[in-house]
Amino acid sequence: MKVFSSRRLGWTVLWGYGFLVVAYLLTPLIVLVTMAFSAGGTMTFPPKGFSLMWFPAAISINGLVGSFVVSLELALLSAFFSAVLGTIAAIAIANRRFRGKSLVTAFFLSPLIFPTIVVGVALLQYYRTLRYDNVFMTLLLGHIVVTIPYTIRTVTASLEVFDYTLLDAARVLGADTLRTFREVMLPIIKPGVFSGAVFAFLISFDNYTVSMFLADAKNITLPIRIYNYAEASIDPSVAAAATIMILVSVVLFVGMGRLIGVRGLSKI
Amino acid sequence: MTSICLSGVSKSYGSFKALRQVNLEVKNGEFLTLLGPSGCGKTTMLRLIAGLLEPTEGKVLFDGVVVNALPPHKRNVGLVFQNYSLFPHMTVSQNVAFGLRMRGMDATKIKADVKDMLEMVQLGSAGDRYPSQLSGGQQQRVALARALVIRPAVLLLDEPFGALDKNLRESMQLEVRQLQQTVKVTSIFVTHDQEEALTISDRIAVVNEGCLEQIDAPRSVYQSPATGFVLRFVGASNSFAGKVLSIGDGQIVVQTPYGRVVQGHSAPAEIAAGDSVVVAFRPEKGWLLPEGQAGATNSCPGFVKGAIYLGSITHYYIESPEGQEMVVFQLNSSIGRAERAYETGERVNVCWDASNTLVFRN
Amino acid sequence: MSTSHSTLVGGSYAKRLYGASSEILSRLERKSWAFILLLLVPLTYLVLVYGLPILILIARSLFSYNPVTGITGGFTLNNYWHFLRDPAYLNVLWSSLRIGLLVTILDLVIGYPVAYLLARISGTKKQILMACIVSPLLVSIVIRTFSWEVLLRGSGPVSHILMAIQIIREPLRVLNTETAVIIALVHVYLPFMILPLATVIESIDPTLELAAGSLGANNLRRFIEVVFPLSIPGVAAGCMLVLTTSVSAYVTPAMLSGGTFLVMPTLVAQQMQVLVDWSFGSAISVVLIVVVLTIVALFSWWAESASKYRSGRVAK
Repeated sequence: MKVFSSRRLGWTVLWGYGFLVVAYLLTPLIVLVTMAFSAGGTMTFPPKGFSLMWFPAAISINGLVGSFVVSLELALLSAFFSAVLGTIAAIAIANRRFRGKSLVTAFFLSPLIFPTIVVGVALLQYYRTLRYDNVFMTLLLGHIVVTIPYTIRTVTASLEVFDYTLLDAARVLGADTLRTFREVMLPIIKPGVFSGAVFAFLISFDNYTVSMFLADAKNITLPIRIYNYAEASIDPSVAAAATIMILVSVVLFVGMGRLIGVRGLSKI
Repeated sequence: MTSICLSGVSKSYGSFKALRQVNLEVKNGEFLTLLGPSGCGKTTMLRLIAGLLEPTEGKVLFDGVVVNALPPHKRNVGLVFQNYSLFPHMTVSQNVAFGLRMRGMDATKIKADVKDMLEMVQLGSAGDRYPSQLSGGQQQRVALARALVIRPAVLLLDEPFGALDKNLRESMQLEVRQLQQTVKVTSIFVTHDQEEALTISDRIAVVNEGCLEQIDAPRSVYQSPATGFVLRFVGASNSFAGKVLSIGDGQIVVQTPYGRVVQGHSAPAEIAAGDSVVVAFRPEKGWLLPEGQAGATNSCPGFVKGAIYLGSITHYYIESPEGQEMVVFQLNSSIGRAERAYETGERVNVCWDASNTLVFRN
Repeated sequence: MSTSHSTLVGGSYAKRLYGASSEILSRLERKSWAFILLLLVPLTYLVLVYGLPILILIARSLFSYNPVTGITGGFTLNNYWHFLRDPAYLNVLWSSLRIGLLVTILDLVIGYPVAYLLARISGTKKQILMACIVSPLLVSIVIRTFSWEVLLRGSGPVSHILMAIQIIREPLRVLNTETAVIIALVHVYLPFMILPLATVIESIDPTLELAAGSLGANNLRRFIEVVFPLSIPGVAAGCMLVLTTSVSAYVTPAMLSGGTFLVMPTLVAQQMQVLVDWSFGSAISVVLIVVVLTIVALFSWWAESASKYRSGRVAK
């Protein structure tokens, strides 16, 4: 029995609209990616012909591979340290009440709200004043700051459903502090830690506004490299480079997602 | 096998006193129950013994040795939690093996011990399953196995059967008792269920608001409660407030609104003439006589408000002229021989002997 | 002591070290203030590498600085005066706010129905929709902005399509204008509006809508009278997120304005990198911070008062 109610109509319209918005969200990137496969010399849409020639061209963009390595190293290290510091912070704070908790929590999460460009500016002046010139380290330290809120949030979410009596059980059974943590707490909060690390990785890998002030000629991150190249170029090699970067992000995200399950990924 | 002692132990959280100057001795190999209402401090005592908490004052002793500074992982206690606290990311076998692993036991020996223990709790085939795949009763037994396999100095059980249904609870109570007697481990059991306490304990320690009211064998706790709280918490009772008229000749006479009440036992030492006291008796020690008939040292008139037939007993609810409610249990098998049944609305006399009367300070 | 440790870490020295630290840790564990020690680790890090630099930034803005000689002078509020008195700079501030507000409103209007849809479905459909919404966020802002740059070119696809259906006669010239920046920002931050909004809408009891429907309200009225008011905390959260991030955005305005106009972040970059006037750049940064914090405070207050509504604590 078909009932053509206004309710059904409402849902159809809603779904149609949703589909449109999703198309709107994904189209620009899809267009860019298709341009990377163009056989022509300029970026037009639809692309003329099909060719993979721009990919080798992209890889041989001056410094691209080097920047990829820099960004990868930064992202991996940021993810690691951010996960460690964020987990420590979350363990200290979660499920506990103390004076000044909201202040401390706000401070830890503030990099999410604070204009990232201001963070970059502040760090630039800071290291110049200190005359600290290890550029890679300054980039790393900055990226960790910007990514910590994500790990704190995901680990806190894991801890909020954590059964603390398990720790008592372990202690009474003979496990000292470190063993209790390693054998009981860590395995159970691992999804939270990992998903935080995944976000931290992506945020660091894609970061521009903090890196732009701190990078120097020897440490150019991938987003900066692509930005500079995009300003200057007209051929689809940029599109190809962008496509590679998109692919890397997606593969990593999906791969990590497999490792920790879909549940962990619903926190942003 | 260890004896446990709490000596002058207090525990405060800020201004809240969870335990006040508690002195408790648990004998080697005995099964002691800490009985009391929620929040009375019994779980706190357990956690102090386990080492999960430090006392604000006082000493915790194992076999006469002060263990205050000893952290929980060095105390060799077995703790069974209310919610079982089985490690969800480990199998049943791995759960049970945990304590043995922490002690550095050799792997083959661990495997053998775990197997034996699981057999003992009738879970021999469940070794490779995860806790989430087991029923409540099964999880409970794994928790027991995990605590016992390490051969602890003392076994602590924190309201372990709260979440089980009645039948399962009763069979688990028996199982635990049997296990304890087989393994001969000093055990401390926490519960708020007085029936449970009476069933399984060697001794019961009644706890109220951080203080020990009485420690005695179940029979003594029931028949000779030391305080009004113990009386009310363990078993049903009838009580009246009154003033002591006289003490002497092995009896106390108390003036209550319903007349004089005589208590014929040895009086608690702290009571003197003129004191405000509470007199009481157990419902099964009282009997009914038709109105006007007296047949015992103590009696109180009233009418039958209700009668509940429970198969082997009938519970009579009597209301006195002053509005006091009393309960009397009558064995239905004695009807026809020494007693008769009574109808709702009938006027009766509630009677009880001086020897069954209890007196406490108010 | 476990045997696995002693086999891994050769030597009784390491074993004693482990034993000692283990001893200390267990003593600390039972103290109620031990967590503070734990907290100090990340806290110290953030203070040293984040808090302190920002304090120094604020301090720097209060001292004069000669770009040529690099010498800092005395305490002064000149940097702020310089900013607040020059209409050109105030215009930059206004541009940032104007763009931010437009982006926020557009994102709210465009995103609300999608948020509602996301909130009310479940299962695989929901996961797929969620994945589609979240996926652009995986990609660097540089690339997302660049894709708009490509799309909006005179020789680009949007231009061709619009000319083909005769909405415009000549090639599209929206690039390097504020409009281009707005279009791109709307796209970039749409997920930031949809997700918090969907979370809040999900917590609105769907039977409320059914009840309203059974009382005679049609779709539109149900929305206006039931759904929207109860979703205001989500609206506030989404708007706060979008407004603060679009006001602070650098890459998108930098790439798509072509230098024809400035917003606060690009102004900061210009002062810091091109003109190397760090005091002034710091002052502008502080103004930006103040703007962002004000937005956060306002929207938090709004969300707070709207939440009281929801939990039923309405005074009658």
